[in-house]
Order: sequence, then C-alpha cells, then structure tokens
Amino acid sequence: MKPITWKTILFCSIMLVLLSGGSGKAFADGGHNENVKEVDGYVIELSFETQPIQPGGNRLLIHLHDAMDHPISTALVSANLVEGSLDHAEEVVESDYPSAEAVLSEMNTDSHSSDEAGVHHEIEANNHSSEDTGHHDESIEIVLAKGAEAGEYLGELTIPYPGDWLIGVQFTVEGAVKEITFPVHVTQSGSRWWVLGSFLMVNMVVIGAAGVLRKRHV
Amino acid sequence: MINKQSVNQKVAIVPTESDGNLLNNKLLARFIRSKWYPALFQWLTASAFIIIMYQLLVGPSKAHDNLGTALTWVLWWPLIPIIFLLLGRFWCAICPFATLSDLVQKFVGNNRPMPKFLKKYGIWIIDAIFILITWSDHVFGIVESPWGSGVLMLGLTTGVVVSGAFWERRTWCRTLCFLGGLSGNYARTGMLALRGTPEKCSKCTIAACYQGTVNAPGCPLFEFPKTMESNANCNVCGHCVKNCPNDSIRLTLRFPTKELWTMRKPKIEGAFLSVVIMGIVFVQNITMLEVWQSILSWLENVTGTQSYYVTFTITFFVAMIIPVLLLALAAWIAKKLNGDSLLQNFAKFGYAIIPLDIAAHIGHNLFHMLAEGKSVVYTAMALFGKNVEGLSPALLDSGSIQILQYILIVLGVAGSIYTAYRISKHNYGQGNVVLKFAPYAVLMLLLMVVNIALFMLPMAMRM
Repeated sequence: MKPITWKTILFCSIMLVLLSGGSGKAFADGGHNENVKEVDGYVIELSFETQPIQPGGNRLLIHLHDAMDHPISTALVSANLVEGSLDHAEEVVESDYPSAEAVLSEMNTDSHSSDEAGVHHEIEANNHSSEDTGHHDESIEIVLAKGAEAGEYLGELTIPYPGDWLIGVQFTVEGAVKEITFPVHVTQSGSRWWVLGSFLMVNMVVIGAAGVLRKRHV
Repeated sequence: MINKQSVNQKVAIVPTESDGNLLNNKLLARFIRSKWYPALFQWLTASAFIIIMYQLLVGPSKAHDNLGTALTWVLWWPLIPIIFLLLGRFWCAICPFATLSDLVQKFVGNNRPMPKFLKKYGIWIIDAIFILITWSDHVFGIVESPWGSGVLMLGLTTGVVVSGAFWERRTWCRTLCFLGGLSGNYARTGMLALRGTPEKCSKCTIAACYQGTVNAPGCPLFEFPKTMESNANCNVCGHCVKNCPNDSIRLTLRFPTKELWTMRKPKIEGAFLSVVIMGIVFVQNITMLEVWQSILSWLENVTGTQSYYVTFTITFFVAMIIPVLLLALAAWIAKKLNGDSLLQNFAKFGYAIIPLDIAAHIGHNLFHMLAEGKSVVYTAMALFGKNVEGLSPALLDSGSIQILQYILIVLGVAGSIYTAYRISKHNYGQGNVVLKFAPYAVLMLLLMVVNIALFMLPMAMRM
C-alpha cells in the first residue's frame, strides 16, 4: 500500500487554498450606505427592507419629512438607479433622468396605489430586462407608492449586479421638484457562497475518494 | 513503463537525412526533449489562469472592468483559432485545465481505462457539450458576466478533476472537452504535423511513444505515432519525442488543409461538428448585430411570448440547422453525381467546411480583439489603481477590421473549395472531378455570402 506522502498533503493543501482563496473578499460587505440626506429643508431617509443590498429585487423605503420633522404624505416620489459612485452623481442625475413628474406623466394616473404591498412600476431603458437577455440595462426608474405610515413611500428596485450604484430620488412637493442622490453598495448574492462551497466540496470529495480508491487499488 | 536501459539500447539509430524535419534543428530538438517543454508554457498559462479565475470570481462585477473577461474573451478566445491553424493542438498541451488534470492524476489518479461509452460517443458528447455551452452563453449571458464565465470555468474544472482522478491520461481532453473537439477539427488544417518515420517505426517493438518511459509519460491523447494519420489528436506535447529511442518522430510544416484532402475514415460526427461550428458562428454573429433586437421583437410577436429562452432557442436551432440542411442538400445532389451515399458524402465533404469555419471564427473574434483589444491593458492598469476613462479600447478602426474580415472569409472559402476539390479528386479520380464537387463549391459560396453579409452589419461589443 502506498503511504500518503508529504507531497500529497502539500498538493491537497495548495488545492484547498487555491480553491477557497479570495472568497472572503468576494463576499465581504465593503459598503457603507449613507441613508439620510437633506435638501431644501426636506429630510429624506432611504432604507431597504433587507440588508445587505444584493442583486435582484430589493424593497426600497423612503421616509420624507420636513424641517420640523413632520411627515410629508402628499409628495410624488420616484427613484432611479444608475451605476457609479458619488463623484459623478450630480451630472448623472441632472442630465440623464427625468423628474418624478415627467415619469408620472408617462404612466396611467390610476396606477398609484396605497396598497401596503407597494405596487411598483418600472420603466426600462431597453426592451429586455437583464434577466431575460443577460445584458445589463442602462437605467431603471420606478415610481414609489405611498406606504402605511405617513411620509413613507415604497417600491421595489431591481439591481442587475453588484457594485457601486447611485439611487436618485426625485420628489415633488407643492409643485416644486427636488432631487437627491444616495450612493449604495451592492454586495454579491449569498447564492455565490453555495456555488463556490459546492464546487469546493465536490472537488475535495472527488480528490479524497480518488486518493482512497487508489490506495486500495495499489 | 519501460526502463531506461532498454531505451538506451535503441538510441543508436539516428536520422540520416534532412527532410524538412523541424527536429533537425538541434536547439529546438534539445528544447523539446528537455524538462522545460512544455512545462515552461504550462506554468505560464496556469499562472494566467489563476489570475483570470480570481478576477472572474472576485473581481469587478462588470465585464467592462474585469481583467479576467478581457483576457479570456477579448484576447485568448480570438487567438485560439489562429494558434490551431499555425500550431495544431499545441494549446491543448499547455492548457491550464490539462495541467490540472495531470496534477490530480499524479497525486490521486486511479488511471482506470477510458470508459467504452466515451470512446464510442466521445465526439458526439463533445458536439452536444459545445452546443449546450453556446446556448447557455447566450441565455445566461456567460461572456458578458465575469461571474458567469467564472462558473463555467468552475464547471469545467470539476469535470477535469473527476476525469483526472479516475481515468487514465487525458481522457477529458480527448473525449469530453468542447474546446478539444473544436481544436481537433481545426488542427486538421494546421500547418504543423507530427508523425513517426515509417521505416523506423516498422522495426520498433517497444512502442515507447505510447507506453511511456522514464523520460516522459506515454501519449496523453492515446495516439500512436506509428499509425497516426491525423493531427486531430496530437497536442505536440513532445512526450513521444522524449520517449522514442529511435529518433523516429518528425515534426514538419505542411500546407494548411492538406490533411483533409486524403482522409481515410471521415466520420459523420466530425463532419457534423464542422458544420455545427458554422451554425455557431452564425449565432455568435447574429446576436451581436444591432439588428438582433429587431429579430427578437419579431420573434416575440410571432411566438406570442417575451421569454428570451424561447425566442433565442428558436433562433439558435434555426441557425444550427441551416448549415446542416445545406450540407445535406449538397450531399444529396452530389450523391447523384459521384455514386456515394448521402451519409458518405456528408462525412467526406463536411470536413471541407473547416477552413471556412476557421476563417469565420477568426473573423468574428478579430472584431473583438481589434475593436476592444486595449481593454486588456486598461483592465490590467485598473488592478494597480490606474483607471482609464473615456479612451477607446480599439486597436483598429471598424472599417479596417471589416476589410480584414472580408479577406479572411475569401481565404476561408478558397480553402474550403480547394479542399472539397481535393477530396473529390482523391475519392473519384481524375474524370469529372469538377462536376462531382460542384454542389459543395456552390454551398461554400453561399456560406461565404452569408458570412460577408453578417460582417457588413454593425456589431456590438463584448466588453
């Protein structure tokens, strides 16, 4: 019977390190999401129902208050998503995206619902979503529905892939359109753990089984 | 394994003539016989592979910023058919997956014989895997997604580990690797040929090239240079050169496509792969055209569904089946002229499409390499914190790239027509050769028109 040599142990160790290497970085949440901002005396708080934010559908909540901390329940609120960091936020929001009013004008007026489930409407820049084609869309725009609490607005934002994103929030209060941008960091989906974990496990089992069978064979 | 003593006893026989054998070059021969060949290249590609995998799995999520995507799909994939044309299956000798298979085999390999079903249906399995991967690429966006590309690599890695752990030699490369199937076909047109010297091999009784010696293992792709007629399964790894005690192995340059002219046993599955590759090139081109969205919309209206799985699968099937049907039609017409059956015609002349396959494959990927080539540098610079914004990744303007594509297609068609002519001449003698291969000439011209038409339309970027 052939004994397990130090070379075999070294090989298995190297394989283990190579196969698992970097996974910590892959799933580390490097994001710090600022979620409260103020514009012209209005305080906007952006949050997500689940954390960390991951690619796919994410429930977006916005709380709108005035300077006296009174909730504002009569605003028209929309949000758009664009890839990038805060350095380019202003130019992106100002140049590429319509205001909440413009977005709303494109939609049926009866589409707003106070349903707590939060009906959302997505206007896609392209005809096909990323899930359909595997290609990434340029922008996603949603109109938020009023939530159960005063000053609360809800919607579901589909984020195509991980990375740094900017969420532009536009709201119209008493005819005035206001805009503010929040940077968010979207982490890798947890399912990737499963893919890498399964890969690692299957390969280790195969190598282990082959090693055992070879010893018996010899 | 054969011991060193028996090898040394045979060393006395030396080549006596200079006949275009590249191994007559002492420097090259010494390098190929050294332990550095192909190890030096293997470690280089393995290092690059580790960087690529790291980038694909944990690097930037967007293909545009990912070095792994750039190295794989903008640099390596366009270069690979060129390598096959120039050096045959040399890539397979230095492929990182093969290196991994060797390593696994060395430490835990069971070295069991290749399963019979793989031996029997290997090429069909490769055909199926190739089609499946191409379909998956489009449906799941593998090329556009670094993570998707990474998962594909992980899947291939698992297959390689299983194969290396249980089966002998490079069973994976010979019977399962989709790229191995592609390279096998392309290598038939390659300019590099490795063969044994018949006079020397006929006297040999030890078959060191196949069995292996202390110098090197036996042929990893189960080939026996003594009887080898094709380069489809030779990866020029040099093991037989190291092992042969008679200096019988010759490495020569040959006219591209020459091997296709006189194939003794053309196989229907090999011919099928050739023609399927043409379909795959069609799909790759069509889906990158700006007109693709219009085609999709039309299909959505016709089928009444917006499911991309459905619409793409229909397109994919149609693009695959068109070249197969066209070849079948040509074979059906030709059988009336040459007397062979439809299947015999299909198998014999299917291989003639390979030069056009290579030309279309290179032509398509040339666009990515030349229009996006600098992205390799940009994404590499980004690793060191040097972000490049707003600069074009193009190495050449689109007009010049198009001209190169047209030239390639014309060369490919010329190669295919000439190959069909030579096959006809080899099989049916001198009389009426032109008439007997005419249906195939028409087919090649038709495929040329389709390819040129596709290259004339604007194409989308990969990065």
